[in-house]
Amino acid sequence: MDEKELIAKIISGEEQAFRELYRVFADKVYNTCLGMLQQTEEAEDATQEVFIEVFRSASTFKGLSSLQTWLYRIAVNKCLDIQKKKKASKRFAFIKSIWGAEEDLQVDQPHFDHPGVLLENKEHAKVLFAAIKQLPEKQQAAFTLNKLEGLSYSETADVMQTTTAAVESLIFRANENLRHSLSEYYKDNISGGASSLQAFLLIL
Amino acid sequence: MKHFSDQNIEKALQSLNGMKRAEASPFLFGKILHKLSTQVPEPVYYSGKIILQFAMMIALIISLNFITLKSHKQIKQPEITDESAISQVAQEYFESDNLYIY
Repeated sequence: MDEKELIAKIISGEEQAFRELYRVFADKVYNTCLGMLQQTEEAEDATQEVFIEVFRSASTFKGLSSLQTWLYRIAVNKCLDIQKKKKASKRFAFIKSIWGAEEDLQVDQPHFDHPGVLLENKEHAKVLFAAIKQLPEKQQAAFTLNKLEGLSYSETADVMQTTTAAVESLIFRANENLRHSLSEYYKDNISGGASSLQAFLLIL
Repeated sequence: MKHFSDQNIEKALQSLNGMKRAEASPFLFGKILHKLSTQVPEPVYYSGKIILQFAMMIALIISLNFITLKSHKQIKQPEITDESAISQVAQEYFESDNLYIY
């Protein structure tokens, strides 16, 4: 089915067309959200919100970009919104805790285990994901789309509505930052001997 | 030691190679349909108080601008009588006939 035809059917409220759209893009959207949020429940919630938004705003899709680009764009924006809200609520909870409110501070999941990572790479991937989480949001989005989703630089640029050169620069800087974070971790880990991944996550 | 650390960094950076895409839960579509059928998009309401405050703020900004412009026009710039001022400066700096001796 052609993309425009699919969107037209979704606009007219055809569940079958929406199901087809979901079948094609669900894993892509979910994997992107999981890579950015690094929590299964949050990634599922974000994926739900993405598809709900797609269904409700299908009439605004003008076909200037591909359907895939549009969906990835919504997913990335949704994840960035969730991250911002989380940071804001953490800050607010911290202030509340200073004033003696009894609400618990939100604590991040100690380490993230992506289900798609090869078994022999699991431990290193956990350290890498912890470092990815500390990247500035644009670098994180570009890195996730490129490395986790396997989008090319130009596809990533389309999703992020920027130029290919800007994406190249973002990914270069992301790699530099990751290298720096990882070197800090491994330096401590070797010299300290006993320091663990959890200690690294706490420092971050 | 450094070599060991570099090796680990490279291994960590390469750890995403060959990874598979995570799959969404099979129940997710059902949840989405349920949400779509139960959730009504929330209309955006602005209370009268907010609209009034906004209007007052705009009116205040406009009136302040107006007052500033009006008062700026009323301030008279001191007039410089060309002859007297210039001759005073000339007398102060060029007392001798030789222009290069100050």
